[in-house]
Amino acid sequence: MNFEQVHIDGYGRFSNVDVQFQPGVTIIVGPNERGKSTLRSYLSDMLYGQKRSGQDAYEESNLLRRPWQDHERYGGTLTYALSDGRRITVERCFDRDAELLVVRDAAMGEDITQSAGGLDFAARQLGLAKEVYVNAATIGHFSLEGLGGRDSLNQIREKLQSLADTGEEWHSSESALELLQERIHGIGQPGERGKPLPETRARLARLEEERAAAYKLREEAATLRETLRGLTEQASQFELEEARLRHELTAWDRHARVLRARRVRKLHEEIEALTKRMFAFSGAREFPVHHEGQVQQTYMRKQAADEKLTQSRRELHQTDRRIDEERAKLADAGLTLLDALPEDLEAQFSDLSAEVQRIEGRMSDIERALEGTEQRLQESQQRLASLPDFSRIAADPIEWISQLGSSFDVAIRARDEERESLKRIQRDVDERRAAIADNHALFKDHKNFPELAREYELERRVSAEQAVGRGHTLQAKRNLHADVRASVPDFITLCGVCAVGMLALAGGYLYTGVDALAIAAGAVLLAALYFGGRLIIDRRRLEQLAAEIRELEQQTATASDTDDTPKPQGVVSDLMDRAGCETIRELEARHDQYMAANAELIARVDLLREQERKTEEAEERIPSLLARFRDTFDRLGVQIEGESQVKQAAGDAIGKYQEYREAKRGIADCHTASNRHQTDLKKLAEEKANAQSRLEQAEQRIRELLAAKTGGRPAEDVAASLRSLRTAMAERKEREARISVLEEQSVALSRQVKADEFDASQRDQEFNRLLAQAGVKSIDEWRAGLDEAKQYATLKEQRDGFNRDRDQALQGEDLNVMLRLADESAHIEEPSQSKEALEEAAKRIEFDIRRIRDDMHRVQLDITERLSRGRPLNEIEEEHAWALRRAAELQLELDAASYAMAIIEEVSRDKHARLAPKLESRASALLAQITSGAYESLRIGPDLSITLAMPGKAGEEKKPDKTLSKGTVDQVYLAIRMALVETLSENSEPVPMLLDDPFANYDDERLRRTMELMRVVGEQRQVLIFTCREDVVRTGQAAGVPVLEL
Amino acid sequence: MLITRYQVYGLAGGASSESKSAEYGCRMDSPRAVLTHYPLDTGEQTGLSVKLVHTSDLRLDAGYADLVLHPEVARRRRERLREVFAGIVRHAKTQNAAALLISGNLFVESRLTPDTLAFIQDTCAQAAPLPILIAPGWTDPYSSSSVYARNWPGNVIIFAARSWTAYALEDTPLIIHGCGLGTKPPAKADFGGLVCPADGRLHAAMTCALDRAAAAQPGAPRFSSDELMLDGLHYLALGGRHATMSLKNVSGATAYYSGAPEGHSFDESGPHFFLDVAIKPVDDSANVVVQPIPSAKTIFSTYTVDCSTYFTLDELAAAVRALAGDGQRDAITRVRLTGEPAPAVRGELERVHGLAYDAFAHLEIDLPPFDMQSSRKVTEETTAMGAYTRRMLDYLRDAPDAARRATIERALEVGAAALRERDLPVRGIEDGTA
Repeated sequence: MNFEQVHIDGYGRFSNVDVQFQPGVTIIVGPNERGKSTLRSYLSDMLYGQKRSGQDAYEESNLLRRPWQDHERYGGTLTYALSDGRRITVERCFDRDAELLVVRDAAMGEDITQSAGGLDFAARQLGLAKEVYVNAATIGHFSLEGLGGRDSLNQIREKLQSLADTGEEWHSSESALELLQERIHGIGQPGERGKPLPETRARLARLEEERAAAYKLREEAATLRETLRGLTEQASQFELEEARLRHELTAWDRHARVLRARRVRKLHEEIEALTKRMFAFSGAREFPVHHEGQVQQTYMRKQAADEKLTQSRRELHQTDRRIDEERAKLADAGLTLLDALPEDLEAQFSDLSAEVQRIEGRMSDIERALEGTEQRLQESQQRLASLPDFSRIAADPIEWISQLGSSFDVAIRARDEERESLKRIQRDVDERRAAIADNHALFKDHKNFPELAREYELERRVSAEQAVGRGHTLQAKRNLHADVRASVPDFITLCGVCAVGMLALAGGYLYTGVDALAIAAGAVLLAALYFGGRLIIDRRRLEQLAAEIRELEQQTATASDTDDTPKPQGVVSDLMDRAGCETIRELEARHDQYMAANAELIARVDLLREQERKTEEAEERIPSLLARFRDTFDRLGVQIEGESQVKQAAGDAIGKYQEYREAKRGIADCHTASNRHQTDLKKLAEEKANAQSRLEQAEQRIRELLAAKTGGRPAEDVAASLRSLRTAMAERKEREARISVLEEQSVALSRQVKADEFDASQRDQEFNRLLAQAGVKSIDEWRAGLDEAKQYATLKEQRDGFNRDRDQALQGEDLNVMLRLADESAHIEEPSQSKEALEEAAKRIEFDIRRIRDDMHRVQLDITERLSRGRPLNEIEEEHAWALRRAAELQLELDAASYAMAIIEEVSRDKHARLAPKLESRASALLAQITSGAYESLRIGPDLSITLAMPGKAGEEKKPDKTLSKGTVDQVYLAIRMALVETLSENSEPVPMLLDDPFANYDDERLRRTMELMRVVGEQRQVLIFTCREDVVRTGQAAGVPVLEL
Repeated sequence: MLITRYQVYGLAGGASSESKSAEYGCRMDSPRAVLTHYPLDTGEQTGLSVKLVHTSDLRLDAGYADLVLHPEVARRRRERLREVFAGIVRHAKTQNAAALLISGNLFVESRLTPDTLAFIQDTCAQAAPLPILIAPGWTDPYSSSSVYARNWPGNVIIFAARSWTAYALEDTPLIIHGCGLGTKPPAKADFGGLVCPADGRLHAAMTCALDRAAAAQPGAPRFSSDELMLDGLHYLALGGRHATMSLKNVSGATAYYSGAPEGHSFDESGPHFFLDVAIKPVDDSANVVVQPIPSAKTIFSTYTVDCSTYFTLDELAAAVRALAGDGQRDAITRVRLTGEPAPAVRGELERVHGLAYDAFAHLEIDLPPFDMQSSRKVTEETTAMGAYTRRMLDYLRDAPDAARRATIERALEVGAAALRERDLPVRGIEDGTA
C-alpha cells in the first residue's frame, strides 16, 4: 500500500489541506505543533475509522480530533495504491451524527465500499487490525523514550512480546498470565485456607450436614404425627363410647328420680303416722328430761361418798396396828448395836484385787503372742531360702523386669508395623502400576513426547493458517477477477460506439469535406484505440487472474486433502489412535497424567525399598533379643520357649520377686514383734509385784477393824467377813424405814376420814334439791316420769329423722311434684345394665381418654421439640442454595481462569516460537545494515528473548546493558520493529511504515546508513518519516530521499 | 430509549403512577399482579351492609431456596410476610369487619415453625372477638395431626370438613359456607354440594381451588366457571391464585380471588392486595362492592435497562439504583441489561451489581449475552490475542454441553480482559454478593 494523496476537509488543526506523497521513502518535515502527529492520526483514522476494532463505539479521538475551525467538515479523502495496481480513494466523515465512509476505485470512480469489506476494508486489505497497525507499523519517539539502561533488551523484548500478543506496546501474555494467576490465587484452590472457594465449599459441607440433620428431625416429626393421628382416632372412638355411657347413665338418673319420688311418698306417710302417736304422750312433754344425767350422777355420788367414808375409817385402824407390830420386831432382833467399816478401805481392797487379776491375764496373752511370732519367723525363713536372691539382680527388680518385657513388646510391635507398612506400600505400588499400565504402554518408548506434540501442533496450526492465508488471497483474486470482468463489456461497448462514431464522422468528412469532422474522426479513432487497448489489457489480466485463481484453487484443494488427515507426525497420530484420543490436547492430558502418576509411582517404589530394609532390620532384632532374655530369665528360675512366652515369663519373674519381698518383710516384722512382747512381759511382772504388795496391806487393816467391831478374833477370809457385816447393816436400815412409812400413812388417813364426812353431807343436800325440781319425792317416782318423757322424745326424733330423709330424697325438688311423679310412674322399668357398672365403665373410659390426651400432649410436645431443635429448615436450605450458587460461580471463575491461562500460555508460546526465527533473520539483517555490520547477529529466542553478539567478540554473547549506547538500543528496536511489521504483513499487502522521529540518538554515520536502508526498504513498502530535525532532512536528502515540508 | 410505564389498574391510594425508573429509561417487564376486573367502591355504605375482609395465600414460612435469595433477605422476607398478616388482621379489626376470611394457603405446613404458629394464634387471639374464618388449602391442609387440629383461639373458625359447612355470624344476617382441603384433596372442586337456601339471609362461601384458566399446581382442586351453580350465594371468596381477580360468568354471585397479599416470586411482580368486601342486601339479592387494599411490603420487579444510553458506569449504576423505589417497601429486583455499552462502560457491566445492590433487598443483574460478534472480529487479528480468541471460539463451537460452554465463554472474557490488562470482577467475590 502506498499513500498517494490526502485531502483534509477538517481534522484537528488542518482545514482544507492537500498533501501529496511519493512512493518509497518520504521525509515529512515541520517544526513542533505543525501537525505531524495529526497527519499520522489522520492516515490511521482514514483507514480504520475512529472506533476500536471489533467494537461499535467511538474512541476519545473522535472528540479530540474535531476540526478547530470548521466543525461541520470533519473528515476528508485519502487515495492510495495497492500492490496489485489498484488505486483506492477513501472518503470519510467522522462526525458522529453524519458518519460516512465511501471506498471508491480511483480509476473508475466506482463505489466499492461493500465489496472492499465495508468498515473493515483496511483490515482486509492490510491483514492487520487497527491496534496492530497503529502500534506495530508506527514507530514513534515516545515508544523509544522508555528504552535504555541496564535492562534495555528485556524492555525491547517486553514491547515486542506485547505487540505480538495484543498489538499494543504494554499488554503482553506474560502480564496476562500474572493477572490470571493472581485471580486464581484470589479465588483459592481446594485446601487453601481463608480463600473464598475452599471456605464456601467447607461451609457448604457443614450446611449439608445440618440439612441432613434437619431432614431427620422432620422425618421423626412426621412419624410422631402419624402416632398423633392414631391417638386422635383412638381418642375419638373413646369419646363416642363415653357419650354412649353418659346416655345410659342419664336413663339411670331418670329411673333414680322415680325411685326417689316413691321414697318421698313413703316417708311422707310415716311422718303422718308418728305425729298421731305423739299426742298420747303430750303430758310428759315438760318433764326435765335433761336433768336425767345430773340426777343419776348426783345419786351415784351420794352413795359413793357414804361408802368412801366407811373405807377410810377401816384403813386408819389397820395402819395403827401394823406400826405397833414392826416396832416390836426391831427390838427383838438386836440390830441396834451394829456399825459400818470405812468405805474407802473397802474400795481400795476391791480395786487392788481386780488389778492383780488384770495383770495376770495380760501376761498370759503376751506369752501366747510370743509363741505365734516365733512360729511365723521360722516359716518366713524357710520360704526365703527357696527363692532367688533378687537383691543381687537390680535395685528395682520389678521395673527392670517390666522394661525387659516392654522392650521385647516394642520390638515385636515395631516388626509387625513394619510388616503392615510393607504390605500397604506394596499394595499401593501394585495398584499404581496397574493404573498406569495403559499409559505406560503408550508412552514408554516416547520419552520426548512433549517435543513431538509441540511439533505436531505447530505444524497443524501452520497448515491451518496457511490455508486461511490462501483462502484470503484466493478471495481477493476472485474479487479482482470479477471487477475486471465486469469492466470488459463496457470497453467493448465503448469501442463499438467509437468505431461507429468514427465511421460516421469519416463519412461526413468525405461527404462535406469539413476538416473539423476529420479532426473529430481522428479523435474518436484515438479513443477507440484506447478503449480497444484497455480491452486487450483487461482480457490479458483476466486470463492471468484466472490462471492464478486456478493455481490457488489447486493449492487449496491439495492442501485441504492433506489438512483433512494431518499426518505430520506419524508417531503422534499413532499414539492418538492407540489412546483413542480425538485431539492432541486429550493425548497431552493423558501424557501429563501418565508423567504425574509415573513420578508418584517411582517415589512409591523408593519408599517400598526403604520399607523393605526397615522390615528386615526389625525381623532380625527379635531372635537376638529372645536369646538374651532366655539367659536372663533362667537366672530367675523362669524358662522361655518362644517369643510368645516372654510376656508370661516377665510376669512370673515379677511374681517370684513379689514372693521374695513378702518373705523378707515377714521376717523383719516377726523380729520386731518378738522384741516388743519381751519388753511388755517384763514391765507387767513389775506391775504385778507392786499391786500384790499393796493388797496385802489393805487386808491387814480390814482384819484389825473387824476384830474391833465384833469383839472377837478376825476371820482368815477377809472378803467373807466383809460380806456378813454388810448384810446385817442392810436389814436394820430396812425395818427402820418401814416403821417411818407406816406412821406417815396413819397421819394421812386421819385427815382423809374428816374430809369424807364433809363430802357425804354435801351430796345428800344436792340430791334432795333435784327431786324437788321434778316434783317428786323419791328416786322411783322420778324414774317413772322420765320413762314417759323419753317415749315422747323418741317419737319426735323418729319423725324428725323421716323429715330429714324426705328432704334428702327431695333433693331440693318440690314435694307435691315428687308426690305426683310417684303417682304417675307406677310402671317404670329399670335399665338393663347396672348403674355401678355403667359408672365404672364411664370412669374407665374417662381415664383412658385422659391418658390418650396426655399421650397426645406428650407427642405434640415431642413434635414441637423436634421442629424447634436447631435452625429452621428454610434457613438452612436458603443458606445452602446461596452457598451452592456462590461455590458454582467461584468454581466457574476458577475453571475459566485456569482454562484461559492454559490456552493463553499455549497460544502465545506457539506464536512466539513461530515469530522468533523470522524476526531474528530479518532484524539481524536490518541491524547489520544500520550499524555497518558492527552488530550482525541478533538472536531472538522462542520466548522472544533477545541476545546480541558483540562486535569483535564473535560467538560471545554478553549482556548488552553495560556496553550498548542509547542509540544502539534505539537501532536494535527499530530493526526489530521493522522486521515485525514485515513479518506480520508477509502474506498480505505491504504495510506503509510511519516513523515519528525515531533517530534522536543516532550518530551521523548510522543515520546515513539508516536513511539508505530506508530507501531500500522503501522499494518494498512506503516509509513516511516524520521529523522536525534538520540533520535528518539533510541526511535524507543526501541519500536521495524526497522531503515534504508541512 | 425504552420507556414503558407499567399500568396499575384502578388502584385506590395505591402505587404512584409516575415511576422514577422511567426517568432513567428503564422498562418494567410483564407486570403480573394486576387486577383484571372489579367494580370500584364509589358509593356510601349504609349501616345495613356487611363488611368482610378477604385474603389468602399468605404462605407464611414458605422457603425461598429456589430464588437463591441471600439467607438474611429470605429471613427478613418471612418477617415481612408476618407483618403483612398482622396488618390485615389489624385492618379487619379497625374497620369493624364482620369477619376475616382466609381462603386457603395461610402457611406452608411442611415448613411451619412452632414460633410462626404461635405468632398466628397470638395475632388471631388479639383480634378477638373478630371472627377469623379459615379454609385450609393445599399448602396448609387439614388433618387430625395438622396444626389446625390443635387448640385455636375461640374467635378462629376452621373449616375442617372436606364438604361444605355453614357458619352463622352473630349479630349479622350472614351465613358463611366453607370447605377445607385435606392432605389428599380431590382433583375437582365440589361446588355441587354448596347449598344456599333462600332464607332471606346473606350467603358467602370460601374455599381454595383453581379455575381451569389458572396454571396447574400440585394438590390444587380445579373447577371451571361454568360448573359454579351458585343460586342464593352472594359472594364467593376464593384462594389459590396469587393475583387478585374476579371470575366472570358466575351467575348470581360475585366471585373473587383475593390474590396473595405479597408476591412470592419474580413471576408475581408489582403490587399485591387483599380485599375489603361490602355486601348490602337489596330486595331478594345483594349488592357486593369489592375494594382492593394494597398490602405488599416486598415488591418483586423485573426491569430491562438499555445500557447503550449511559456513558459512564456511575450513570448506569444510578439508573439501576433508582429502580429500588422510595425505600418504603423491600425491593427484590431483577435487572436485565441490554444494548451495546459505551466504551467507558464496556467490560465494567459486572461492577453494576456491586455499585447498586445496597439500595435493594435483593438485586439480580442479568448481563447481556456473550458478544460473539465482537469476538469474531478479534479473531482477524494476527496477534496472540487473535489466535487465543480463534482457539476459544473453536472450543466454544465444539462445546458438548451448556456447562462447558459457560466455562469457555467466561474463560474467553477473563482471558481477553487479562490480555488487555483490564480488571474483571470475580463473580461471587467482588460483585457485592459475597
